[in-house]
Amino acid sequence: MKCDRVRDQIPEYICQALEGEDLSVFEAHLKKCPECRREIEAFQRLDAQLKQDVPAIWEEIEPSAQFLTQLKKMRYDDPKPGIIEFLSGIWANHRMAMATGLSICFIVVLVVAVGLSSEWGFVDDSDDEEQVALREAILSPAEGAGGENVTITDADEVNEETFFSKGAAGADGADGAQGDPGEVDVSGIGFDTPSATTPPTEDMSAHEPTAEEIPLSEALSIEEITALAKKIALADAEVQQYLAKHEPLSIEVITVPIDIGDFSCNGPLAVIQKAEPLTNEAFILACVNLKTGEVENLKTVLLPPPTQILKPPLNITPEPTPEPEPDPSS
Amino acid sequence: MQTNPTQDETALVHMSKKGDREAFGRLMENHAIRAYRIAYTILQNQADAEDVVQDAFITAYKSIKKLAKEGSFPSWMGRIVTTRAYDHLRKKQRQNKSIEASTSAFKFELSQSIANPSENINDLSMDLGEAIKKLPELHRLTVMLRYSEDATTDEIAKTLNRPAGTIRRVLSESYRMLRLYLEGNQNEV
Repeated sequence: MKCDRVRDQIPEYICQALEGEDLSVFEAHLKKCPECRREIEAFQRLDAQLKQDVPAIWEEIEPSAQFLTQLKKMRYDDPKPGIIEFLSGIWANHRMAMATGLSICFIVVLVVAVGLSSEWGFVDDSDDEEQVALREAILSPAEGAGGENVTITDADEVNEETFFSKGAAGADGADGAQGDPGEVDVSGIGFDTPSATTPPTEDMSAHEPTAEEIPLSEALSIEEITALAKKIALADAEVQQYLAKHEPLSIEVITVPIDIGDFSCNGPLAVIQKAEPLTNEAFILACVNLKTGEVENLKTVLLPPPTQILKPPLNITPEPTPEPEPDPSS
Repeated sequence: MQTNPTQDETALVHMSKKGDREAFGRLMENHAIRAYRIAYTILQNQADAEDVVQDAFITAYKSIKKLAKEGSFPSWMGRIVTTRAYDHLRKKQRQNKSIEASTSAFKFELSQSIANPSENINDLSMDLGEAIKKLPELHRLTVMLRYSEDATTDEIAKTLNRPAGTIRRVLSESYRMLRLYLEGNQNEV
């Protein structure tokens, strides 16, 4: 297994999500690849630090002192009768006319549904009732605590659909998507709009920039963007100069905008890692412009040896050594 | 592990579905802080997060009758809060019409950390906390849920209403970005 492929799977390994043959192949590679072992150790240190510090960070997030009191004081008006209750009342009074009208409507809906279902493709309806409830809840007018009406319009949902169907952030590499090709979440908030143009197997984006910030081509898939960014980065003369003496250990692509001090990139960013002669690690950050096919910004970052990267765990106070008791006979 | 409903909580959900406001009130108390933390993680603003949570609970009260799986109230509530928070964020972005309003573009104040090295052993916590704050909203929330609730990627995917593959990819990117922020800025060539 190549190091690139292994590096792609490191986060899954950290999350203990690798299993079966994937895990066996992964671990077999680790046994014979010291560079990948070092890479894993670095991620494991980060994982350990996150486990240690994030709970405290999470618990520090507290609302204002009067928040809970205000919540308890909120008035909850009984939900207005739903469409079913409303129609039931009308049905009781006008059965014949309703029956004729509903039959006609049913036939029309059936024809439309059959025609559209082939376009929409597979829909995951495992949480159908919940998603319907959620969608209805979001679409219904809501009142804020101050009595103002907040209406979620279909336009908002369409915008969310636009957000999440474009420019998906991915570091999956060109070797193949790490997503679940068979898993489609087109139900629920904003994902079940009939006008969705994304094919069933497209991964719903994790990236939520506004429309004007989306730096990636809409015509390219995540895999294509990643492959293209790698290709452009490796073809760059400066990158080749840096890599002249050493093969790159790994090449990853980040598509989310990133800013590190004086280096910024709207994506995609190719992160090329190589080994230095003195076992230091260097990252070459190559900000790629897909339109021009060039690297528009380049930075090389040299890391210290792994032992210096992270400080020791926090809040460790060595226990005081007890003083020896005086000899009672003296 | 993400908050798992006890039998008592399932009973509260059941009673709430029948219109028991007191039962819903207790549900609200049980989940208010978590809901606030989810909203705040996205919005990074106390007042906005409180408003969003209030709206979310009103929405939940109106639609709880249609919640089929009573045991999934925590993830269901999480989805409502998340959706409301993103709606609020988009509205603010449209109002501000500014790229800076989006947490997708951000700056890591490297110069401060270099110019003012601190001997406080908690420096790394502060650096990690700041680095997490600088992640995009979904990445930030994924990391926080993963490590505060020990949630699996599937559980996070349910709470955030995203495919599990997306959450795994988001987590992977988060690790890489955090490493870059924490390690990559210490030495430059």
